Amino acid sequence: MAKEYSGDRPTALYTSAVTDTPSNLAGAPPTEPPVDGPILALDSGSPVVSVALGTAGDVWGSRSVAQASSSEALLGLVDELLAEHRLVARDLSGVVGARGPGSFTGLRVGLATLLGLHQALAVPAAAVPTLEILAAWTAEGAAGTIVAAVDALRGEWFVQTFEDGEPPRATGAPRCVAARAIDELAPCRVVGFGVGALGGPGVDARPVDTLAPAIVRLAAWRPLEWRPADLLDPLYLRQPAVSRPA
Amino acid sequence: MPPRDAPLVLGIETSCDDTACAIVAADGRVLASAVSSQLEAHRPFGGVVPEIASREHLRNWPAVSAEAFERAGVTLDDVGVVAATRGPGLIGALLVGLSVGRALSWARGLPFHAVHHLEGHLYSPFLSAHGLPADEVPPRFVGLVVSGGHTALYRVEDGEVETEGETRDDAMGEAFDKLGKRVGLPYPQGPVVDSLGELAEPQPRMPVPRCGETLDFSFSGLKTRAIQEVEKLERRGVPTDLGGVAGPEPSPGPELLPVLSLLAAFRRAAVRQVLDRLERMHRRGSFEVLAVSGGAAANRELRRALPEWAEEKGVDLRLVPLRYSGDNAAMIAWAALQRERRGRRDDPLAVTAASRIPL
Repeated sequence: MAKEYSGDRPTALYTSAVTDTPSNLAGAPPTEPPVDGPILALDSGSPVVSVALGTAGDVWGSRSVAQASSSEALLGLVDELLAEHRLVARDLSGVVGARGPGSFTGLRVGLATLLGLHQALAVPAAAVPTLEILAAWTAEGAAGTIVAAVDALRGEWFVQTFEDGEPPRATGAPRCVAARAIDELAPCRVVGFGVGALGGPGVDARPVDTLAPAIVRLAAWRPLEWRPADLLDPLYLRQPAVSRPA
Repeated sequence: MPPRDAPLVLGIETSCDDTACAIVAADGRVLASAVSSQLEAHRPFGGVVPEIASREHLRNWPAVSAEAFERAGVTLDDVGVVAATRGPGLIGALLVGLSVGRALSWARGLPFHAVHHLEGHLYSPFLSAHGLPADEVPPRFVGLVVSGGHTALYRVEDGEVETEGETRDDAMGEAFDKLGKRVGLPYPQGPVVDSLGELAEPQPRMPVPRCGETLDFSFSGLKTRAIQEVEKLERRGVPTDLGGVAGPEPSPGPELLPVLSLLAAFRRAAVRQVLDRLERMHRRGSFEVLAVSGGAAANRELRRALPEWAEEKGVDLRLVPLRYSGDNAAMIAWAALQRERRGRRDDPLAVTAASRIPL
């Protein structure tokens, strides 16, 4: 079955009235990193959706909600979190999201929200691959290989291997594997939502509860790439389930 | 340029396969209406693929909004109200525009409107195609929405909308699309069926379903009947594949006349059904203003027939300008202005999209 859709094609190909490139973000400043003000981090593609507030490395607070009710609740969580720290939207100096893989719709809700904030506040924006955030979540004291894992459904997982470090260093590209293939990576530490069910001998499964705080921590370890165009390009890692009619 | 103290409305519409952004002034002047069609992304699949539509909306939004602001010659600082479509439509697609709109409104502290897509269409006939202020919306009017997703009659009174009748199966434009697909036309088929219908005399005559004595519509039976007629032609060895002739100026050979006649007959019956329901409704209680909107309001035969009917009945006909007949964000911003005038606003922290919602 041929998969005809490719999100890799430039936007201009699809548009009639518009000829701009995806990197042309209305009202976007250059991609200077935030200086020292608070950044808002958001993970909307995971089974538990979370938002966190802090400066690089210092998490001030976070909120979370189940994926199922997240599209309505997400912005309210952001509002609550800011209010708790006596802040308003205009006090933010950067916004950063988890870029996927994860729930297709969930990722878009989060990244579209950040896109709106980026436009409204003219603050720097970034999106970080979810597998990198997962690796950072567990890095401390990891023995051997870290396997960041996101449930790809249908008995498959998106995985990427990392070696211990601050931040952890990727030793392979993201790929989609059957659940049992993760055993072959042992000895390793597997980190992700719902990984408790995974793992045979030598697999140290570390289930994750929320991920947004890890984005703030990651920012302390390495400079984030403040590239707002990444908000437009979630790492779905899977084509839409559609094939060209015969 | 409007004065600074008259805030502009930013409209966002992503309910199906068009990514749209518009800037509309408080008097209904459309300063810019940018629509980015995703036709090329969906065409290989013969119709709209929801997941592709959703992906495209996110990719397209910055360019579409930049285009709207640039054409209007304003910035976000000039915007005083934000409006986005909340439904009905493709849920994943709706969520992209609604999420952007909610965030923009919340971060800027601007009033927000989560607009019903059909409310957008209903008020669109009062927009000016020439960048002029919109016409005053009369307190009472009848709205007819005909598109690829909807076919319905409404009675609108002081902002309250009563559904008088709606399709029981296919929308009018949907039936055009499906018949077009059957005769090999590329997506979107409806407008091509309409233009090919101009090229031949309607043959054979096709029936108009009664739907009891209601004001409901039904296009599925008509579509099936037309497809059966296509099959009849094929059994007789008459060519019916129009895939090769669909261009800006189609020039099909004489061997295709029978299938073209069939398309014309189908179109005539569809338009007769619309007029039949208007006639019924007018008999039950006359009305002064009829506002016709939606993508299928671009149908040539409908645009010829409606003025005749309206003149005969003494009805003030408002046909949506062609540029606002398809999905667009100017109509969403304009509908938000109607809501704003009635003091109806939504909390950007507490709204969500819905694929099906009553008007």
